[in-house]
Amino acid sequence: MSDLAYLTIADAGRLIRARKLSPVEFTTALLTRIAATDSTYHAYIAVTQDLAITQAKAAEAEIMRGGWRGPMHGVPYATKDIFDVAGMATTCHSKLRIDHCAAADATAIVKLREAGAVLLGKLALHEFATGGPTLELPWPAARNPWNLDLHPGGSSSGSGVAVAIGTAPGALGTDTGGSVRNPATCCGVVGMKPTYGTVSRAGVFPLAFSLDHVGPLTRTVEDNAIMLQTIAGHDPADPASARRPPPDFTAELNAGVKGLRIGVIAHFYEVDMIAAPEQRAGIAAAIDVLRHLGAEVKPIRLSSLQRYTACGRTIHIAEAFAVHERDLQERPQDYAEITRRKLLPGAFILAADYVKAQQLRTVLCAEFASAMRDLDAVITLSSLDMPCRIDDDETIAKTYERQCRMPFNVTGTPAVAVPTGFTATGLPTAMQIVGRAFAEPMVYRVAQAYCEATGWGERHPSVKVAEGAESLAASS
Amino acid sequence: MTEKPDTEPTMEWVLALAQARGLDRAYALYPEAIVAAVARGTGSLGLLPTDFSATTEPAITFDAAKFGGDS
Repeated sequence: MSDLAYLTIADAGRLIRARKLSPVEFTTALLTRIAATDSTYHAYIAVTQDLAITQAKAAEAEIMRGGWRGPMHGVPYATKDIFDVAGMATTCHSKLRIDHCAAADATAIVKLREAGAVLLGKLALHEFATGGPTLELPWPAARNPWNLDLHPGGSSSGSGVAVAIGTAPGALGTDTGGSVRNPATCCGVVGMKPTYGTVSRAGVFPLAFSLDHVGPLTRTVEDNAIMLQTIAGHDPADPASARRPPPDFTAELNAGVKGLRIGVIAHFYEVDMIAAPEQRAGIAAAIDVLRHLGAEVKPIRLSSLQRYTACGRTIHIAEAFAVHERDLQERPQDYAEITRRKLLPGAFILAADYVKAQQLRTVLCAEFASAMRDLDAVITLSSLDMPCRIDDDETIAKTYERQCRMPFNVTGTPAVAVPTGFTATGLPTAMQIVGRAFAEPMVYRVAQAYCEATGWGERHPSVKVAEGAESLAASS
Repeated sequence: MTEKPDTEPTMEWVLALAQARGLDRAYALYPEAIVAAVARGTGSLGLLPTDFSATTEPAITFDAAKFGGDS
């Protein structure tokens, strides 16, 4: 079972196709591991055990008849509880949504179902993908897999934790200002925010329409590309859905970085805001690795991190307030304090400031596109700080201001967070690899070359098992 | 950046703003949160670039393909 806990999507898919691994056995092993660990890690809000077994049995029967659908057929996954699953509540980790019942599956869930994937359950998040870890909510906050006292990142916190501790090989997340890449960073896994419009948001509870992205979290780059391939594609139900067929995201995976031109946006974390030494050491070592692998790495200059962040934040909080206005007027007490604090400023943004932020966005998008003309990819940090204590609201609020992720929600370009190593205390550090719009294959190519050379993703946390459940749980 | 009043907002002004937004209940329960929200909301955008022009086309219909999506 320990082997199954950390089995990759790619390997599982190959074994299932060759009928050397039973989807029912794989699914049962992960359900058992969830039961043995979740009282400690709180990654899951709801476990869809019956549905998972039914889907696994159906996949197994179909594959035995020779009907293999693709690399996720019979492979389990989990989803942030912000995606609709028909017949279940989409709670958004909020008291306001306890009585909700989704009428239909979100498009990403439909695509995974049609690919034969097996839904294990729905995962914890920051309330409405914007709050933070707090005791005020109906479900506990997910915990950092490397140190239970620390913040696991958010808002797709359960997605990062479940993948890191081996209770799901892949998970869906959403990213409006970094909410896939932040938990990937804090949990030491791979988190991709693809190009705006690549994955449909239909059936996903919105946070800020013009910044919202759907993306996968996995333990390997190859798995991430496989999962993105499964959920990408045009969807008329999402007004922002890109009208172009998705490329083959795995096509360039093993092409290496020799001869590639990679820019480093160092001023984000060395000048605009000063990053923690551990994070700076991680990306400095990564630059050396990329150079050693044959890439040409050089610094580039963009507008300040503060400018990108102010642009994104203005749009973010204005659009989020539009979504939550009625509930904040009628039942503000039902939100957690940290969520109210993030949503209420949207009531007081001037219309002119919102319009100017959208105008500034146009300028910043053009600036980034211009910088990318002579480059294949750029790298920069993800988080500027290391994870703080999960009960330290003030510091958590500061870390959400001190990050390099929002610029790529503003530009809408693909950005993946990958581990760059571990600190002396065993916490993961990370960087982002960013590409031109719709250049996910290139982003994955750089990420794969780097991750394969360093092997950071092969390290797993020491997973704590609930008392009495030792026989059920996989080893770390 | 849009010009803002150069004096600190009074509680009366904050209350009036909250009422105008239908947030009377939130103000009654969490007055400090509303004060902080007014400060954060009205100061959200910060300084714009010196060469910024408000005649730029807004990104109302944002299209990533316009910005190098030819890969």
